Amino acid sequence: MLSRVSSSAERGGAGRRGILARILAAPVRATGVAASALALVVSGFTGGLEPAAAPGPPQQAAKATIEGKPWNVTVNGVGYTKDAKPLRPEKEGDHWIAVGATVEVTADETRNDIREALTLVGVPGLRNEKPSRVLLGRDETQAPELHPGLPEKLLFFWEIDPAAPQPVEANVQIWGKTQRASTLTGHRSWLDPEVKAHVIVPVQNLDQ
Amino acid sequence: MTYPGVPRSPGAYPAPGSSQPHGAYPAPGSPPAAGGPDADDGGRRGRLRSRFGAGLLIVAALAVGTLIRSGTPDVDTAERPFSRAGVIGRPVDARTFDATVLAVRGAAKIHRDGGLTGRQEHDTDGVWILLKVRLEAHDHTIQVGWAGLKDGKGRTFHSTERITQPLIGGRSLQPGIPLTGEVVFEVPKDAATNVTLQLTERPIDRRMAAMVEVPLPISPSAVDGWLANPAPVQIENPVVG
Repeated sequence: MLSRVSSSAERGGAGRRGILARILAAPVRATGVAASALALVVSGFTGGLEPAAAPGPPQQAAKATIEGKPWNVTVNGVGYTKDAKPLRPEKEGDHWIAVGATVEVTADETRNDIREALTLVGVPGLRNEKPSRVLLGRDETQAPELHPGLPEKLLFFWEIDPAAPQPVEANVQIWGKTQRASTLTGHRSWLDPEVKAHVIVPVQNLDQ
Repeated sequence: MTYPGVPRSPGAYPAPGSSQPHGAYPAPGSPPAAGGPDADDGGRRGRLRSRFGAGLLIVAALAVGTLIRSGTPDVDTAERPFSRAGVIGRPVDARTFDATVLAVRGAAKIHRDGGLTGRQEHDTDGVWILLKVRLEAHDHTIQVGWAGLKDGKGRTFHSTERITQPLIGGRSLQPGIPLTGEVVFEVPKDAATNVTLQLTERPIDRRMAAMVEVPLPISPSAVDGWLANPAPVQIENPVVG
């Protein structure tokens, strides 16, 4: 009997020790492939291969304040116009879609990147998702800097193809950033822009 | 093999042709030979001590590294601007230029001819602060590239861009020819009474720059008085001298 056990162990074919010894003795690549295949099979049986629902940013109501860093944003309304003088479109004859929003800088320093606070998506004929112009509501200062603790009403303008149908509603995305040490320089900067929320707003015809 | 004059040791290899087996087991009951179980225990203990010592050294190295790291300032602190502190009314040496804060006033509404939009009057939900400063380059032509107000909460307010600011990033300063004019800031009312002027030659990257810092004596009653006046305040244009 003993001789049978010992000969079986020598072959490495019987008992836990035998299997373990064979696994340990196997080449690393073969072990890795086998483990990956096993993980895939288990994952498939437990639903891991089913398409995941995209966790998009939450939808907010118009005029709700989306609080965050480096700014808080309240979308007040969206309008469409053929002419927005004194602004001149980059492409002659383009029409305009404008978003009115109140923005308050919550960072601890004046910011000049307010143009990056909003994008528009899903509007037919839009030339660019980012606004081409931003005006300060109170005196029409272009591309204004905003200071901490001083909320301002702004107008964000996008150019739109005049041949496109007039939009009925607009999906306004509100972006935020994160202040962290840059992996390149080590300096703290506002990085990692991401959509914090989106607002579906009916578009008013400002020419009527 | 035996060498002349060298006694043959008990554990030596048997002579060729000898019938004595090499490495024979000790007889039962005989005392353990060197290299037996006791020697194995000793070796195991030694290995354990060695591993424990190595682990201890790794932990000590990590602790020392953490200590050094916690005591070392971050990049922003290490490369902060070099403060050149002063007081209102006295020139402050900013390495390449001198700056003197001559006067402070404020307003609810300001007025300057021209500007980017053509509008000449600008109101605010906060308060405008107008600082009369004299700037003089030392030995080569420069521009003062950036001005800011830092408040007691650590917030920094850049000089406003709602109007043209000839003294900041505009007019060049020639050595020995001082220029006097107003620099304008827009700040929340709650920040106005605890602000320090900051001036530096560099417009964007202010790391390790020489920076003028002058605290401004603004009282709450002064702010209330400025805001109570609805008339726009005319901003002084820069003049030589």
